Amino acid sequence: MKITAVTACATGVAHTFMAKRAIEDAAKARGHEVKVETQGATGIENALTRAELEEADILILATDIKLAKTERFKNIKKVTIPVATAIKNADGVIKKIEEKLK
Amino acid sequence: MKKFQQALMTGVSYMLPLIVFSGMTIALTGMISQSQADFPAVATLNGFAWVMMDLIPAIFAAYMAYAIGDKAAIIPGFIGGYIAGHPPVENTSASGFLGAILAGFIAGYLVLYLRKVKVPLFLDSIKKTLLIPVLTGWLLYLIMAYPIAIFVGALNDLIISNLLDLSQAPQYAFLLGAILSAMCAFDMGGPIGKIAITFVFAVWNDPSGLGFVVNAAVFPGIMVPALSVGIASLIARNKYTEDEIRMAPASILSGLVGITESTLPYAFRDPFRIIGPNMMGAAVGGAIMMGFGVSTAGVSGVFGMPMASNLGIFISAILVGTAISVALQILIKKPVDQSAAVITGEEDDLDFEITL
Repeated sequence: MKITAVTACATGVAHTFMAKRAIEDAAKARGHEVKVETQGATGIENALTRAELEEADILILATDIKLAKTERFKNIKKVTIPVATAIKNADGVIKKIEEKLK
Repeated sequence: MKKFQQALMTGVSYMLPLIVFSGMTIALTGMISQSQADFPAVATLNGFAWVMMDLIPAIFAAYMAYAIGDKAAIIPGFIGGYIAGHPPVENTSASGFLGAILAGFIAGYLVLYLRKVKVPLFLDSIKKTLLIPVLTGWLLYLIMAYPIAIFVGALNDLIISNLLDLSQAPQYAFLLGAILSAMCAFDMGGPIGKIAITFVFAVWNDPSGLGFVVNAAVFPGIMVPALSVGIASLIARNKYTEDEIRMAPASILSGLVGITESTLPYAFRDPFRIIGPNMMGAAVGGAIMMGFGVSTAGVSGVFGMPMASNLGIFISAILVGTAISVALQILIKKPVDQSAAVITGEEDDLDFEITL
């Protein structure tokens, strides 16, 4: 699968990036391609492009706040989860997505 | 409810840099002024930082509204939040953070609703450019300047007078400090701690100086959790995972500068044995702080220290709180099997649906 994700927490310093790493690690361990955009304290980093979003099988929005530039995410299969869930159990999230997309 | 909480967190998220700027500037300029040197430019900067500090409810409400009603809600939220800090009508009082939350909520949903109202095509651009800004601005003014400023203002006064009453009696001051501090340690930057902080901001400008006393009382709640998990993991290495020990220096540093959130990964893995000791330590620290009536106008951990009215007690309160939390954690935490130290999430966390 091609997995895309966006992470954002309130402070935008720690959890945003912990969630990014957790999703990347879990996705790679399960043999998926993955790209994670972060919307941290200074703004968007590692931005997802139009093409990447169109090719993606799933978009994971791990956020505690309102995300920026959400118009890009229209008509893309997505799930919304709290940042904490991504940090605690990214593996479980991806497994569940695999099941649901079957 | 989830949308409301997300809106609150968005407001907090966009407001944080302003808190840091004004807090740090006030702390630093205050320090320089205290060193007896007379710099008019520093005093002016200090005054300016206070003006920015007063804008915090407005910025908070603006971005809370933005999370609900998108771009068009920012200015109505700002207008409402500004009035929450600066009531324009005589004989009403500032509703502070409580009012700002209401302003953000009302502005957000008002704009969200107005955007959905269908109008004839020729009126559409007028609706977007004229009607929404002016109408929502007026409505927010009316709501915030009259009913809210009167009622929430009265409620705020009630809370302040109760807090004042509490702070008059030393035995309750201990309790108040303990409760406020433990609230901050409970969810480490989450909604419960925010209520304690809301209290602090609600009484911030109180002429009695109570704002600075309760501000000092929440310091242990903010600093103890991250400090103690870091220190405890370095002492009792067999009771913490490899990751936790590696995070320890960052956690201690975060604790020093007042970022409680870095405690969260420790708390996720072992909630009761982390949060319990943290709350105990924070409560004792808050009780000491407030029992001795220590005050500070500073924010963000050690940066608030130079402004403390009694530096010795201030530091002791943090140290005693941290020591209690560290000791309790080491006492009640179970040794960790490093190979099996994988965080396992509960199944019901994964209750999500795929949507387009």
